[in-house]
Parts: sequence; structure tokens; C-alpha cells
Amino acid sequence: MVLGLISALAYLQIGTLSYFQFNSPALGAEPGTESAEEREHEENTNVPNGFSPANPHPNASQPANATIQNFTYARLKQEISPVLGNPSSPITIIEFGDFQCHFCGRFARDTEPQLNQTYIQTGKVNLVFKHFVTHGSDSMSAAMASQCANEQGRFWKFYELLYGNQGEENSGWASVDNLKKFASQIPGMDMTKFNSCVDNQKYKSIVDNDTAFAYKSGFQGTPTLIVEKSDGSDPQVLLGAYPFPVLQAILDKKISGG
Amino acid sequence: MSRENTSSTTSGSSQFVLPFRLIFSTWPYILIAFTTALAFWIVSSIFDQLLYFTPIVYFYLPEDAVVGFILATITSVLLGIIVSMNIFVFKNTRKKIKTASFFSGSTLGVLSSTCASCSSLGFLLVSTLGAAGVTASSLLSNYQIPLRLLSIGLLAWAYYSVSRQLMNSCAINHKRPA
Repeated sequence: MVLGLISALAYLQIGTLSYFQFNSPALGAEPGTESAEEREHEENTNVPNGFSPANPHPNASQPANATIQNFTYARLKQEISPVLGNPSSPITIIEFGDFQCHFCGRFARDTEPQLNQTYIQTGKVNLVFKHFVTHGSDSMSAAMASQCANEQGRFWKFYELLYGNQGEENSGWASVDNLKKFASQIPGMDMTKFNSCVDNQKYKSIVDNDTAFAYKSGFQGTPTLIVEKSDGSDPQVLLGAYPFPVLQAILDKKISGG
Repeated sequence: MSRENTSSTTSGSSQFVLPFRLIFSTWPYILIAFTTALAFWIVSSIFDQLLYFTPIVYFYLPEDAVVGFILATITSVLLGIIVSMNIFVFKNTRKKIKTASFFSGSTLGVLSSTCASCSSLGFLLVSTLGAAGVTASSLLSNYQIPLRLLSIGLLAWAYYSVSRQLMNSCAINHKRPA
């Protein structure tokens, strides 16, 4: 009976951690023409990229394949998503994350710096961030604020700050006031513009669309990573804060065309 | 009086050691304990996103997971011991197994191994319970360490309970008139 309980719970989690492939090439960052700007942590470039779910209401019960296969480029609505690295890199990783999720924090602190150094700075991979708000209202505020930082080309600095100062879920560390304090620590941030953007919830629809898409696609946790070729083909969905060596094995296989 | 005290002390310490020695002097029970502990350790490591099997087998321990990992390992070992002891009790005595603390301890151990709101468990809570689900998954996530400690406490109670059962079945009632 005990082993049965363990097996059932293991199945629940292993099922979500194992990676699987989608057949549709519909998902992915559109290849842009801009080159990556150099900075300490790589500059984000505002590249039209993204998708708008056919049904804006989250529905996690639909099968993932069916949902993603319905997303053709013709249906994609242009959105502004933060991109780290060269948009024309051969491989794109799309991270669906929540700023309050501890595993997303682990990915940002442990894996992303190594990924950045080894693959992003060398132009082999670019990283796109999408919102998957699941942890409550503070997560929503953080997601919208990050888009406001992105508007000023400072998303990745904001990303680093939030994940570096992550607190307990819904404890207030990601309240609107604290988000403004975090933003004020970023050199060159126009705080008047940022505060106005946050207060007016300027990017709410983008965050809602990303989240609805994630639910509709059947993503079962954060962070969810989609690793695909830059033309959107061969997407592979990974759930979890993959450590760098494991992600490296996946990326090397994908780069070598395996 | 002093004899009584000595007897009581001896019986107190041996109450935990003797059943352990008795059961784990045979290979099948060692194997059951080891297999159960390993199975639970693997499950909790997967839940904690520390252990990966594809495309390479990889285990890593980031800073934020050290305390949780130590507690999960203690839980796994305790669980292995208790499962094995319960099987021994079931096979060798007519006593009814007391499962409440064992099951609550092991279930709590598994539940607290997850960052609930990051995993499918949290999603299940959120999608079925809405705002209450968010609160529930946040609680599971924020109180992961205390829950694991509680789980260890419950398993320790289960160990005590099984040990006492085993010892009582062989106990001599000193108060009984000769």
C-alpha cells in the first residue's frame, strides 16, 4: 500500500518531469534581424515574438498536442517578449516562468548564468521569457513590472534582481511597492515611466495571453522550457529547473541535429 | 526499589534497540528497508528536481535544496525501517498494525517534498480549488521544512509505536503475583 502511494505520487511527478516532443512547428520565436547587444548580462532585444491563444480562458484539461497544433503562425499575434541573445541563433529556448516560483529562481540563479556564458554569448542559443502566472496576485504584478522593465531594455537585469531576492510565496516581497524599489536599483531606469507603466497595468493583456497559452497547452508547472530550432521546428517541452549539464546534453543534441 | 529502577531503565533503552536488532538481523528485512528507503529517496529527489534520468542520469544539490535534501533523506531512512518493521509485525505476531502515524508521516513526507505550486500537484490544487488552492499550495511550498520536520516526528512516533508493540508482546509483567 505504501509502495502504491509512492508509485502513484512518483507517476504524478515523473509524468511532468519527463520531456516530450510536440509535432507542431507552430511555436517559437520569430527569427529577427537584430544582433545581440553586448553587456555584462547580455542585452535584451525587443523582438516581435509570441502568440495569442485562440481561447483566452485558461483550460488546462485540453491535451497539449491538440492545442499547440492549432497554433499556426497565421494566428499568432505580435507581442513583445524579452529575448536574451541573438534572435537569429539556431536554437531558441522559451522559458515559461513565474517570479515567485522557487524552481524558476533556481533555474535563474544556477542554470541561466552557465547557459548564458556557454551558449547565449556564443550565439548558439537565445532565450525568450514568457509569463506563466500561477502563484497569486504578486506574481501578476511582478510579471507586468518585468514587461515594463523590458520596455526600457532592462528586463534581464530586473529578472536577475527578482530571482536573486526571491522571498516566500505571497509574503509581500513582490508587492507593487517592492517591485518599484527593485526597479529603482537598476541603473538608467526611467522610474517615472516605469511607475506609470506598472500603475496602469500596461502589459496585463500580454501576461494574460502568455499564461492562458501555457494553461491551454497543458503545461503543468513552472518553469516550463521549450527548446526548439529557431524556425520553430522540433519543439521539445521540458518541465523543471533543469541543471546545466542536463540542459547541455539536450542542447548539444539539438545543435548537432540529433 | 533500586532493582525496579534499573529494570525500568534497561527496558526503556532496549525498547528501541532490541526490536531493531531482532528485525534487521535477517537479510530480507534489510533488503525491504533498503529498497523502500531508496524508492522514497528517488521519488523525493525527483520531486525536488535534484535527480534527472534523461538524457543523462544526473544528481545535483543546489544551495537552496541542502536542508530539504537532508530532511528528505532522514525521512527515507525512517520510512524504510518502519515499513520493514511493520512487515515483520504482520508476519510474526497477531497484533494489528497501527498505521495512522506511519501513513500520515509518509504522506506528509511526500507532499512536503514538492514545491507544490511549481509542480502538477499545485496546479491540481489551483485548478480545482481556485484561490483556496493558491493558498494551499503556497502553504505547502512556504512551510516545506516544518512539514518535513513534522513528517520525521510522525515517523519517529510510528517507530516508537511499532517497537513498543513488539516489546510488549514479549514483556514480563513484574507486578503479577507469582
